[in-house]
Amino acid sequence: MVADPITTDDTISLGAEMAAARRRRWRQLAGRLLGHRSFLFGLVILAIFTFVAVFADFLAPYAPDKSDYRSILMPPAAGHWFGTDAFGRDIASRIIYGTRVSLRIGLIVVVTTGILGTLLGTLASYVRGLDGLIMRGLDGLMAFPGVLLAIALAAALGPSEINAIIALTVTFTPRTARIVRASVLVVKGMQFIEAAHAVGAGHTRIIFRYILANALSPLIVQLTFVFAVSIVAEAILSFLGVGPPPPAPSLGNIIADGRSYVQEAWWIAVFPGVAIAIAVLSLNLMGDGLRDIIDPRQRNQRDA
Amino acid sequence: MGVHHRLRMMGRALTVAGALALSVACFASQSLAQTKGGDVTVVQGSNPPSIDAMSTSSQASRNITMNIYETLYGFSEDIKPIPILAEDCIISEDGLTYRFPLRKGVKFHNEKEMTAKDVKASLERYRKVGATGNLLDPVESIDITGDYEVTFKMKKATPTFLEAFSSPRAPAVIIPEEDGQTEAGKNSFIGTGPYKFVEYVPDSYVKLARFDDYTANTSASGVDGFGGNKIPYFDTVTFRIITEPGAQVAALEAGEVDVLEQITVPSARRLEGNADIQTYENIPWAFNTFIFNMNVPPSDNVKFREAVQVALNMEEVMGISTEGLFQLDHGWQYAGTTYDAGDIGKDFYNVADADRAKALLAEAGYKGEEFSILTDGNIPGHAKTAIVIAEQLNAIGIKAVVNQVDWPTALKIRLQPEGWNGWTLQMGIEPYLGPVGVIATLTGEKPHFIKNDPQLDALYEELISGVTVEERQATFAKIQTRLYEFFGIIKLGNTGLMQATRSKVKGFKPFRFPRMYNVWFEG
Repeated sequence: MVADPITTDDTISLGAEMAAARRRRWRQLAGRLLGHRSFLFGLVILAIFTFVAVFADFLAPYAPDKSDYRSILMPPAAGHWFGTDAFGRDIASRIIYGTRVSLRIGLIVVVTTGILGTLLGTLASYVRGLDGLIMRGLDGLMAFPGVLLAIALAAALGPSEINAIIALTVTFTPRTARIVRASVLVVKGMQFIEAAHAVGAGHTRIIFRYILANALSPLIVQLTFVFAVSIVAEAILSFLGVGPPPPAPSLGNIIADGRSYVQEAWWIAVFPGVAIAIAVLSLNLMGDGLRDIIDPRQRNQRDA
Repeated sequence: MGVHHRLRMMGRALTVAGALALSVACFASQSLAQTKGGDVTVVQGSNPPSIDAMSTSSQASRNITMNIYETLYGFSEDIKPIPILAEDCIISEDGLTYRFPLRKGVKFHNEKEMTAKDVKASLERYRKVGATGNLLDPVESIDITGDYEVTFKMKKATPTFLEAFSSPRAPAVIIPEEDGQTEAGKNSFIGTGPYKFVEYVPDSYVKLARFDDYTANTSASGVDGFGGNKIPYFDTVTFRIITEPGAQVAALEAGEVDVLEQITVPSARRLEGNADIQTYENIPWAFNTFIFNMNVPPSDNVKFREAVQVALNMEEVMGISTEGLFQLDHGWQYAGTTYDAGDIGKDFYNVADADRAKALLAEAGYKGEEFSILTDGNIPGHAKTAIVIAEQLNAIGIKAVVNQVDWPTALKIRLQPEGWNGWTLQMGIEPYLGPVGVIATLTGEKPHFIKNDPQLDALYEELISGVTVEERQATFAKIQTRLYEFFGIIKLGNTGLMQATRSKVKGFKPFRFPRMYNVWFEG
């Protein structure tokens, strides 16, 4: 979606022509994104990760929890590409299943953060009386360093996947809300919104059809970064023992298991670490590409 | 002991011919090397809950406090009660009075001489704040019967009293009379031991310094268990708290620290070829056990518990949880010790029979209720034990989940009557203390199972009132039989403890705590 007052102002119905124009624009956007090298690169890697996560049951050579005391701490070899851990569990299989857990947590956090952030950001900017209340509350949350807040919340709630999701959502929502609020404020002051008010459009219609549709670009870019940061943050939580509890394999858990054996069995910590690095890199590349194409203003601001 | 031990170490390296002559020569040069001085750093993984030795039964405390304090009686190397601050113990024929003449001239760290008044005050305090204060329950009164003598009057004859009194679990240490009225943890940390307390910075270190006026028990030939002729050599001993095993090993390799109270087995194996580092194997060190909460379903059902017992593959549990340093042992006393009950219960051990387990589950009417296994991430081996057990139980259709918390939280939860079904526990000091030590934790007011087994409680009473060793052995055989009838606790095996020092640390011998006396730096 590109901020373009005329096309979204469909109170003056342009019917089929409008729809065709919209499709054309989507095609153009997709074409430009796929032509963007780093976006494409990120997309391919993310697609591979997603494929691995979805088809873990078929791809993993072993069950992720299958321990075997006869093959404890085996270095990478033919039977176990990435070696085994202190339980004799296959690291490759654990990483494959761990990817599923990490991506699932990242994705859910993106969705919940997106919804909550949009809701709070829009309310704050659209309803005048709520602005101070909501934003000061969010400022309070933002006063804590992000990961520290997540650790504190996860520790207080107890180690589980759902609690990790809650902790990460609470941590990342304020930043998202702030971005939404800022762009809604910009759009809200534009002439076509005034025009919509003038022709008698309701608040719901104005918010969803006109304001949000035009304020989404920075949000989408932000959410790709939330996705990336969530994966890292989940790994941090698991590493500290406040993420999904063992024996569930998450990338952070596997690294935590390998912590005591870094000198004797480097492969336990290194391979999931590499997996996290690649996943986060791919999301960041995609985020950068999206920002370049759909939200060029932000790039100019950042570069300035 | 020191001389014997060194000779033994040398002997291992030497050929038979000429060994004697060479050992004598080496002994001469080594004794020259036993010079005072140096600052030694010992590493352990967790904070001592207290430096007040009598008020805690924590190993992290014992490691430190047994270098600071001493008891009247303690265990020898071969686990027999021997006098330490006492000179002797004279028990009357009827078993109703215990007379303890004290060693004369023993000085506290505040330079005051220890007398019968200090002993009485210490033991009266032990009754109140001692973590195992009930071991003085059989004692009617503690009387001062001379400047250097106390006498216990007993309520009734208790044949196992002296052994219990010698227990290092929460040691009945002797402190100055002035500390007699202090609350738990609030004494001035003054004892009679070879090192005196200097400073405790939580999460960082506990520092001790040599007590130059230490009154050694020169009647003994060398160190013997908790007693013997102790000689402090180091200027200071620092117990540094480093939680991360990897960081501990790195510090040892870098030469920043000198002794690791515990090192993971893979790390120890890796360091075996390193000339700067000496590793030690301390096995058997502890029982690895799995305890049921007999108060809540499904673990309240004896058939269910039996199913778990026969389902488990102990070799796998032990192999993984100990990283390979273990003994398969079904017994509730170490093999070869006085109360070893032989093959009783062996039929149920390391069976790993899924079909039999499933049949028992059906008999128990198990319907897929959740079986929550409580464990902690702090004590090495606990979490791994829980995870392997959960995996094995899931394989026979039990819905086992692992609840991993930190150690203090686990200790709180397991006291609650509900909210857990199984709990992983390594019993370190209890089996060392003998049958009473183990069974005491399974009976009485707060048994590990939450709900008492009346038969076991009765057998415990029979055990502690057995007059002769033979009687008590017979009772213990009945106890082991009973343990394999109601399956309230599962013996998984014996664990070992790997320790390591820098090679310049000489005279170190693995024991129930790192004895930092009669240990010195070479050169």
